[in-house]
Amino acid sequence: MSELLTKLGIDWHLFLAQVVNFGILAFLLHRFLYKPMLKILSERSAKAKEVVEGAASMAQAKRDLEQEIVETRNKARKEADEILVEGQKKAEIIRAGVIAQLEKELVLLKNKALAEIEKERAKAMNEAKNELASTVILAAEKVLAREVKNEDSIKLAQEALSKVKE
Amino acid sequence: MHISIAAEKLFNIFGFPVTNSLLMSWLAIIILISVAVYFKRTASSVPGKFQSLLEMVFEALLNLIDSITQDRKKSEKFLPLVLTIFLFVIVANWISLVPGVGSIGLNTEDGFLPLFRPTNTDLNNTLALAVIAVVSAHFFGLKALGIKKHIGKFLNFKGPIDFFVGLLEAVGEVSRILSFSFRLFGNMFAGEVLLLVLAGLVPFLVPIPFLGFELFVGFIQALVFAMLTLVFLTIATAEHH
Repeated sequence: MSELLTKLGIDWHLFLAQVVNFGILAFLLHRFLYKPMLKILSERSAKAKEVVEGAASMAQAKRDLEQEIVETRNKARKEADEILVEGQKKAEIIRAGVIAQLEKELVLLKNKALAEIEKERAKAMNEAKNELASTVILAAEKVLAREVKNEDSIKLAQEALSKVKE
Repeated sequence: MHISIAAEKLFNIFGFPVTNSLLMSWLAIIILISVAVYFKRTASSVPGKFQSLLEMVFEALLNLIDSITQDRKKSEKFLPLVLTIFLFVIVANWISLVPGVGSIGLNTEDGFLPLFRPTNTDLNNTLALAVIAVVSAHFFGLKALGIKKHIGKFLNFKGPIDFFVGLLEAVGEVSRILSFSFRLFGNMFAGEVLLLVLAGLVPFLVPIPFLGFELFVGFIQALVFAMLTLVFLTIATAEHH
């Protein structure tokens, strides 16, 4: 057995040295390579997870905001429709009131104008009467060729007027 | 042409023999520790090219370990052992292909004495790795299952068949050490001999494809050793139903 081990080159000194060497190597690699590497990777993974979660919550917030915008828009549209309907109703009422007022004013103006016309007509009639009386008197004076006395002129005028009335 | 199964002794330090393969293993260890220390010094949350490369390799190996253990906590527990085996074996295998290894040496009275010899062509190293792997599997098994359950895998008195199965398991543990150590030793030694013979026969161009092939073999052997260790660790810590 011993001869076989010697032929194979197995020496317990060297075997032990390789075990110790490997132990030292494993310890140093663990300390200087594996540990820091695992730390970096876990930190990066945590950061990535955080970013992903942040992105997910932002996406959720975006969805919520979009939903809110849609709801607000619908509400605003509904309110606008209501305001429009209300406005149309009020406008209708105002229009009806204005028309009624205008009609009333129109009637008043018409009546006033009619009264004015009547007044003007009566005035014109009176003036025409007086003008006519003067003309008749002048014509009668010329016919009679004499000065008509005051009593005569009154009498003539009355006669003329009664004729005109007839 | 000098071919020897045993590593050649270069000198003694206080009675401790220093062989050419031990020298190469120190070189591999120095390279790995230098890389680790450089990483530790320059590591930042925003990685540079060197750190990115290391992170990429590390993450790929960690994911591979995860795929076997199916448990990140277990992976992180086994990582120092499994990854150190992988890195040590692959670096030791690859630096063995550097020109000068096996060809630079001293002419002594006993003949040519190479200064460097591939680490894994020395059974002391492969045996040490195998023993570490198997002992670690038992250590983690004991820690995870407790003494009774773990020893119960090998000493089972529930019946003659169970007893025999337990015995086979115990024999399997010993043969595992042998298969582990001789697989790596055999592959690397054969590769080294092949390269040596080829370089002796046709020194130019012809060895180049074989060097590439040895790079691949070096990687595969490191991966096989590390993954088998991981599988044994996982099995040792798993509950039997």
